[in-house]
Amino acid sequence: MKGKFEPLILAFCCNYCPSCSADLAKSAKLQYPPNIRIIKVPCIGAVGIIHILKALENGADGVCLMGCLEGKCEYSTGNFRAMKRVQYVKKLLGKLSIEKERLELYNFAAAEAYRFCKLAREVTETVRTLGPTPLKINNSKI
Amino acid sequence: MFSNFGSILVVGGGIAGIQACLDLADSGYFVYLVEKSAFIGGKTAQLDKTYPVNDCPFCIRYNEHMECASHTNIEVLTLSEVKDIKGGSGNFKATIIQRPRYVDIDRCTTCGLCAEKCPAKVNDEFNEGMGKRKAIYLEYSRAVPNGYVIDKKNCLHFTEEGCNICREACNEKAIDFDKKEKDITLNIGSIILATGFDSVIPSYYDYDKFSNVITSMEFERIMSLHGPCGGHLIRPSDRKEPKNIAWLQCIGSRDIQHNYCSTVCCMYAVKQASLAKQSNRMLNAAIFFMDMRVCGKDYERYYNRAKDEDDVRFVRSRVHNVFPVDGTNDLLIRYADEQGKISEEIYDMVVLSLGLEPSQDAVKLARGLGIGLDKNNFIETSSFAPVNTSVPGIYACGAFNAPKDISESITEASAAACASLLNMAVSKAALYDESLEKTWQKPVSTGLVVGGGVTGMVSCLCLADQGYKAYLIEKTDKLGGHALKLRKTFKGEDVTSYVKELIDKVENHPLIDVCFNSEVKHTDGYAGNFSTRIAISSSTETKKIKHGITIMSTGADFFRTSEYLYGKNPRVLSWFQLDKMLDEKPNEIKKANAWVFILCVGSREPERPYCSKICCSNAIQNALELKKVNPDMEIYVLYRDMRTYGLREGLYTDAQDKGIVFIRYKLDGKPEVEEDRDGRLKVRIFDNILGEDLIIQTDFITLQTAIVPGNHDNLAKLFNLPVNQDGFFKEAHQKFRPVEFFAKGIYLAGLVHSPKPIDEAISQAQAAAAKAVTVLSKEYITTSNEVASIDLKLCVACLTCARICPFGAVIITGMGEPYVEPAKCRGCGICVVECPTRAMVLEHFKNDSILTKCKALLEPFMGYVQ
Repeated sequence: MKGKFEPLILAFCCNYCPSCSADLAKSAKLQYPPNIRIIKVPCIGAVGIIHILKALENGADGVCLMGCLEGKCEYSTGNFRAMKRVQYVKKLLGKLSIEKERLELYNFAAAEAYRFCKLAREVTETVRTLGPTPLKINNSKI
Repeated sequence: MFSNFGSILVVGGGIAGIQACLDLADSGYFVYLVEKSAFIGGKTAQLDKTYPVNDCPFCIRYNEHMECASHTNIEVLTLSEVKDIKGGSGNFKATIIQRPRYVDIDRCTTCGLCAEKCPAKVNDEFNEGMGKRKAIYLEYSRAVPNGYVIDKKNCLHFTEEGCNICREACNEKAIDFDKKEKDITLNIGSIILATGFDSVIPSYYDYDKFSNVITSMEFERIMSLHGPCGGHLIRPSDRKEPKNIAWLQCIGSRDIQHNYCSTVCCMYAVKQASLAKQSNRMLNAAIFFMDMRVCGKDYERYYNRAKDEDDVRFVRSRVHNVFPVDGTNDLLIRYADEQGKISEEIYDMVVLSLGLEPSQDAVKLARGLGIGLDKNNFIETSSFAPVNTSVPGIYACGAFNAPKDISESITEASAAACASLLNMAVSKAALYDESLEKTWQKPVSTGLVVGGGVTGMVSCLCLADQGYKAYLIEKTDKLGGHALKLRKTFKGEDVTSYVKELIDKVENHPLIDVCFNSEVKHTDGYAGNFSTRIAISSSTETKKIKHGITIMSTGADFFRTSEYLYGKNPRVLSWFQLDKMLDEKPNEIKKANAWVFILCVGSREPERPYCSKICCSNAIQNALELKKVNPDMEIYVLYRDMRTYGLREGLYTDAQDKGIVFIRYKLDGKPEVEEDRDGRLKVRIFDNILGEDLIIQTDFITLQTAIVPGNHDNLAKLFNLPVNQDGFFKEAHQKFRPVEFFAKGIYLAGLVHSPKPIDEAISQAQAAAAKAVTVLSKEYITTSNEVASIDLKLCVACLTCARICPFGAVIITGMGEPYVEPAKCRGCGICVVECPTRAMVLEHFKNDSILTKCKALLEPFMGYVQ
């Protein structure tokens, strides 16, 4: 593995539509890069700013949030709350001169297995070109 | 462990069978599900999309399939068939033959190695023979039960001795060729037949000759994303995109051998054509039909959309044969249009909309059990007990009773579950599995039914006969509703005496409390624990009722038209005035020389774009009654589409035989009614076939007025229930949850859902009661353990949580402290994140656990190690 940089991307995945898409990808035996690691949450609105920041601090090269389609949140407004938080954290990242592209919010319908895999590949490529997170270097002791 | 004596046998693992199983199991009974094939799901699993919502049926039903396979109260017996049933109601003895699967389902991980190595390739029945599968196979990737199966007929181990490739390939050692067929004997209390339908191409179509003539189910598989073409619309012969497709309706229905309408074909053809158009805008899609029978909730809108927005061409003609075009794989269609002009058109592909008929095995089984079948081999049922067969203790639901679509099958499945619950005077033999749930309170075992029509009364009786107290709220001073005005059902049963009997039963039932002249004033609570205040108009006092569930059955109203001189001339009658006249003044009918029926008065118009469903059958039924009283009378029926769906088609053919004249009119060419000075009536209408205006001198006119929603705005507001654009209540899901609301514990039944005949209203009433019993029968109200709670030591009572909770689950107590109502909380975790002092905790998703996961998942080499 030496020489080639493999990014680590943490995905917070809403238990409804995005998880369905991910499950469907599994059962349809579609492949997506192993760089993406999924944490299931009951709703994407349950992911706070602290979780995103902690993930970055712990050495994630990228973080993505996966919610339901806008207007289709099982809990009515969870994905809009997530959108606001992502915008806020992006602003913070800008101030810290960390690339904003390391954080992204995606919206899924329940049967988008192909799109899920495609996005997973795209995100991995984007983060790969960005290189390792600047936070990791100072964080090796954790 | 427990006795199986109180258990129920469900035959057929399609959509109806699964629903019946789940309702029974949730009410605490043990159920055996016998399915002939290796996987449950039936025909619904093969469909690409369902009308009128264009949802993928499989996406929505997958959870139910899984629940059915894993429910502690359900035992699924796949690859099984009923061999023999002995005994009577309450004590049947069934012998089931189960063929071996050869794959141990507990070990199989569906890795697919076996199928990869298997050398035997066969046609895939799931894809209607269009794709290939191996001899060891899984129908589709999420088939339930989720494990491979060996098809003995094609497996080389059995046909040519010695092939063991799959057994060697399997890492889990799940394959065992030595398994033998076995007999299972079950003691059961009652039986539900949910065997569904077959679609067979009638022998007079030489369909096999042309590769580009396909059946409707083949078209579904072509359009399906997981089908043999990957969702790409291509024709079978050369795998090219077709430029024009024709749908031929009524193949195998409405003919001499099948004197019934298959009910679903019009809608599925409209769906297929509009989806095909949406996938390829350049496509030329034409549907050749006789009558467009789209008579269900929102179906008319769907049809209008296909016509106006998707540009599907509708041709009113019955095509008798398809001819090949020499040198190509195209097909020539010759048809006569409405004026009788013969035209010829060439199509790339032709789809046959196949009708439904009862499956042959089921007919054999039913005959063996001594169940009465009608001349088309559907089960004989009464309109007042739509799921009871002629044998006590045996019930039937779904397409075996009459051709019907998914939502009605699901309703009937729940109704059959309810009927068999009533039959089971035996103790419950079931296990409860509550490991992931939190128990905390007993539900109030009382039901509240709003609306005292037939639907409401049937629901009440279903609840009361199972031992639950029921309150019936009626706005007026008598029970019965609009059914009091009806005479007979389309099968000829007497409605009046049935309603009288029903009222008698309800009023004298010790567990039913009828509140006349009363109205709901206020309501509060959640499933299992509602509290409602009732106002009685005769007194100033209000009554407070505690109840576990609510059933809405406030019914509908009829449209009061001002067209066609209604209300101005006493000889222009509405349909219920005619009913009354048949009973009271037969002499006037004997004197009349001519009678005109005008259909679609107020229905299927821009301001009311839905079909009232019952008017066509009602008109013909009354016309036949008139003919009985006065055989010499001339009767004219002016219609737009003759929607005598299902077994009602028999009425239509009967009426044609009796010489009743049917004249079709269009929305822009409505009949005109005039009266001369003596008050005699004249109807002017344009006849399509003659091509000129007809003037009919008539003695009476009957108007089949539309059914309009009742005034239930107040109820909708009080119970927070959604209403659709036509003003009827909107159910949780049009196809798969027809009698439930999104809010748990509130159900709907009858005409408050959409216009429908009495038999369908009764089956909805029973279905709603079955759903209600799943809540009432619980020992405790169980809620998910995934609910938020508050650490009051950290709470500063800023009320952020109460403000943002989407479900209003956070309540401020008298002490000024917030409290999370567990039955309302749905565990989204939004409050946890928003709480500024971290006082909120969500079980199973605690803050620490998410952060720990973050850390653990970011360990560098995790996931790469094999």
